[in-house]
Amino acid sequence: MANRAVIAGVGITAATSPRKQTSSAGELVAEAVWAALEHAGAAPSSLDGIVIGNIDGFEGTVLGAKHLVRRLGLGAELPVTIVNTGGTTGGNLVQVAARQVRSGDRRRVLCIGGPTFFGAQDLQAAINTNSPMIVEQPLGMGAYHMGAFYPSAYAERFGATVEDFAVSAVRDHEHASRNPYAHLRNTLTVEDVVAAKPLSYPMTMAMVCPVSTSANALLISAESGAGDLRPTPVLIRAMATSADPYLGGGKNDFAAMENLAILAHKVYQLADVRDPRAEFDVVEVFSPYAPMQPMQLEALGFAPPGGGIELIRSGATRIDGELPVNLSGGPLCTNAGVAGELAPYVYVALQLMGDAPEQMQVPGARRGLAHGTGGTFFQFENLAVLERQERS
Amino acid sequence: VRREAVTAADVQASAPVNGPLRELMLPAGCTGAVAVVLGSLARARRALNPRAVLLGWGQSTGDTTSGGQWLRDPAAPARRAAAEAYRRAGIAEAADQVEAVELTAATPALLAPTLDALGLAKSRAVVDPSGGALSAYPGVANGALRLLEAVCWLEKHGGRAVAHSHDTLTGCVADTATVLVLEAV
Repeated sequence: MANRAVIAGVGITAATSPRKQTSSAGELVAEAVWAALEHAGAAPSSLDGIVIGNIDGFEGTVLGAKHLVRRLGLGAELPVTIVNTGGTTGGNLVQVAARQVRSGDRRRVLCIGGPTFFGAQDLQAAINTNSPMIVEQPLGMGAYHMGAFYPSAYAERFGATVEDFAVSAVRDHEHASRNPYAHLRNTLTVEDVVAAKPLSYPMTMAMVCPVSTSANALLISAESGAGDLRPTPVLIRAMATSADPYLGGGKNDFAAMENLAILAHKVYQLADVRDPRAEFDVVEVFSPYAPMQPMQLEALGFAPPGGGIELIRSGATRIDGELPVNLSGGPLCTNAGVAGELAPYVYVALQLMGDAPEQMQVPGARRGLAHGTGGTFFQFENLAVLERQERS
Repeated sequence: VRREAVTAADVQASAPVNGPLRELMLPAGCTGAVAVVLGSLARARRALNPRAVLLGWGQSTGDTTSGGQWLRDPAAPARRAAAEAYRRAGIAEAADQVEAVELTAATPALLAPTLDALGLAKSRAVVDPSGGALSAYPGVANGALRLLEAVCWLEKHGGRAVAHSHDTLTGCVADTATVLVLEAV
């Protein structure tokens, strides 16, 4: 590996629903991009690449991205890499950009997360066509039914109840209420979550993410070329992706996120993480369905199997706990497509730079974990260990 | 797919497609798949049959469709991709240093601009020795097929070759271009 890649600038816009959004997709993306350049103190002329993506089915295949980037005021000649990996596109932007920088192909690359769901008339109808056609669709299964496979298997094995899963939603909303960029900033009680409209057992409406519009951007730079940039650089210490088979039948176990556990093992090895619970100061996981979060925390080695809910209930994942998780409120409170999947990387980078909004900043955070996942059954995972690089 | 030699009269007599374009002027659409194994030079030394060295690579995307560059200067992305690939490959004068090129011209009108963009307009480089996209055009696998054809040519003749392709799915025909520079083992 020729170079080390760092995150050297972050831009993010406030989020709201497509119905209430007053900015166009182009305006949102431009706001995020210029905010990232300003945060970094980087001149547009210092860029030598852009990585942007789309989610097929929700917006025109790559055309939106391709045309958006030429309207940012960054010129018409910057090389553009287009990533199109469905729901995981946002997380994979970072994976691609960092590899370009590490290999020496590029020195300073902008990762752009657009507001994918902008203008989608019926996102639910579109997302429901994602389920496999042979068995699941004729059974009337849509996206959240498939999301409910995990918690129902988990409930079966560990005896978790709707009230238990609700704890995760309550915690995310509590965190989102402190995040000025979040879409849903209301707080909820366990009773509120349990009393919400039942969708697919054991999930209620309050355990499912909203449709949001927002944009964000990350500046990824070679470590050796980041000396002139303003923020404390955040090293991309280790990262990888992992995939399960497409069909649900290819999963060995729905009561445990085995694929994520395999990926975590690999990434922790790369970063020399031996005791994850003790070694991370801040974590952002992609849990658009609240019950996913305790299972992800188990797969990531923060709790034993069946212990994820107790970990959240204990307060350990709160801002003042020993392992703050999803201080952004996570995708349960803001989920804007590509921008939503890029968000865990954005928020962990802000925390490690010390540049998060004051009311959500973890003091002195040094090492963080950012996670993304997608696919009808969440078969595709991406993960990165990020580290603050103190300047001497 | 198209293996027979054709005359100008055959081309004129082929099915009209749009305006002056006749079927035989256009890529020969077909199915096909190509797999490529890439390795570091150190690993490749231990491979039984290394086939070519990838010296340089470049990729570029055009301006918005509404900007009009795709009509005024359709090979602009190819020119930028070639500049990047040649820089990585350490090639200063492509016309003197490249012996063959496998390129993708979606219509005859793109052939001259593309050759010029690759710096091969005034060179003795063999153009499309395989018959190019006019002989077989397997959609998204086209870029890999052009690479394979260039590798096959190098194995017979040695020297250096260029493989050029563009993405016809994500914008106007020449909007996203990729250029690879290859050298015989």
